[in-house]
Amino acid sequence: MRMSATTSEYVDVFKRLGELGLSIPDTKGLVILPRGFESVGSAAELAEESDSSTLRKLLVEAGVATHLTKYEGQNLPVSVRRSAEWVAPTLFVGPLLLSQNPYAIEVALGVMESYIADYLRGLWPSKEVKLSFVIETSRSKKCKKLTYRGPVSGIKELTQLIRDLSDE
Amino acid sequence: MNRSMEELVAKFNEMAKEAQTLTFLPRGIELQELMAEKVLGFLERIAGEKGERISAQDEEDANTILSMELCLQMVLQELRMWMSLKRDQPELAWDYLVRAQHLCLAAITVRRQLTSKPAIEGLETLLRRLLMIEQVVFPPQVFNSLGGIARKRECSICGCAYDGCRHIRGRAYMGKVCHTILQEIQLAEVSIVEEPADKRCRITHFSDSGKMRNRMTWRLEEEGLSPGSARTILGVADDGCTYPGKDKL
Repeated sequence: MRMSATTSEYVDVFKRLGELGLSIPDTKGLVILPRGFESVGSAAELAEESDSSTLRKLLVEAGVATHLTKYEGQNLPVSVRRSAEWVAPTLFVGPLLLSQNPYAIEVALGVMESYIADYLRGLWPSKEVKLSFVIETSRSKKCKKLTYRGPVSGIKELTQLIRDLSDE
Repeated sequence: MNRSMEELVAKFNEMAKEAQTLTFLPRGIELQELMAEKVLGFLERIAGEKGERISAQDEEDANTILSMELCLQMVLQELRMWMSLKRDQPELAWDYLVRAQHLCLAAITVRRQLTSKPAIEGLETLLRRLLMIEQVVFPPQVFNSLGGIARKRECSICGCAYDGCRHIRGRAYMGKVCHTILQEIQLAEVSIVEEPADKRCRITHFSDSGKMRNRMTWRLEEEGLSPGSARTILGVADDGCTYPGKDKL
């Protein structure tokens, strides 16, 4: 199975959080961005992916601080998709995460790899997965999106790519 | 594992092996009916055992018994599938097959969580077999899928908002699998998908020569579908699994 990882420009996450009136507890951990974060006209159109909460719990269990965004102090509605396709939420890697917890990304990718492998186990073991991360670069303070497509086994390869983007 | 659990596991293995002797199409339907009753009796018995382990707050044993229940329910669904096919009830048979697949996946997930780490290879082989039956025995199906949003999502274990509780969907807690219950659902779309979360959500008929063609039997039926023949999912739980006593459709 082919594997690809591409980078592209992304909206300023903190500015966008402000525009939409969304809040996060702090900027030290990972933030699971809601579906439509980049493009919706208002917060009323946003929804969490079905697995965002579960993923947050697993990451927190593994020691990686992870947050969902809130609107007016409330959780966003949840997207309901009755397809078996696993829709990965986009994860925002904040500027302080890597400096304060250098192993956080490695741990997070390990958790995601294991979770997705279990999800696909048996029924779609060779299925391609798509994951997206948004990273704020430490020098230029720009947000970049890293999109991965490929086998589950390739997810761990993203650790260095995320670190490199963070260092830009 | 204590001695009484070891004995229970041994009896479960014996029961599962005996029942699986009959999970084949050519086996006598009267034997399959008897076996289905026997499995149900065994399930009742181990449900009592599980209740005792729950009362004693023995989570590992309760979850071990849960994995046995899931396995035996899977075998029971397979037996019912073959019996339904023999009774010319292929749509019912399809539903039993899909339930068996989901139960098998749930059993694998629960077993992986147990500290005693029981083998899962046998279950993985069974899952592949059930998937093969889907391909070989049944005609190709067209599935549908609903899309929308749920404003609330409850945890089946504690009844609290899923986002705020400690339970994780798919994991077993004191003999029960955690699933989420969707509430205040707003539907936005119905789409045709190749890989639905629940294969029971399928297009059952299409119009043909002024009548309705049944996609499963290929028979032409009169207009006006019988209740339950047009399947649409409006699930109350979003994990796509069916567990004993938790039919969510």
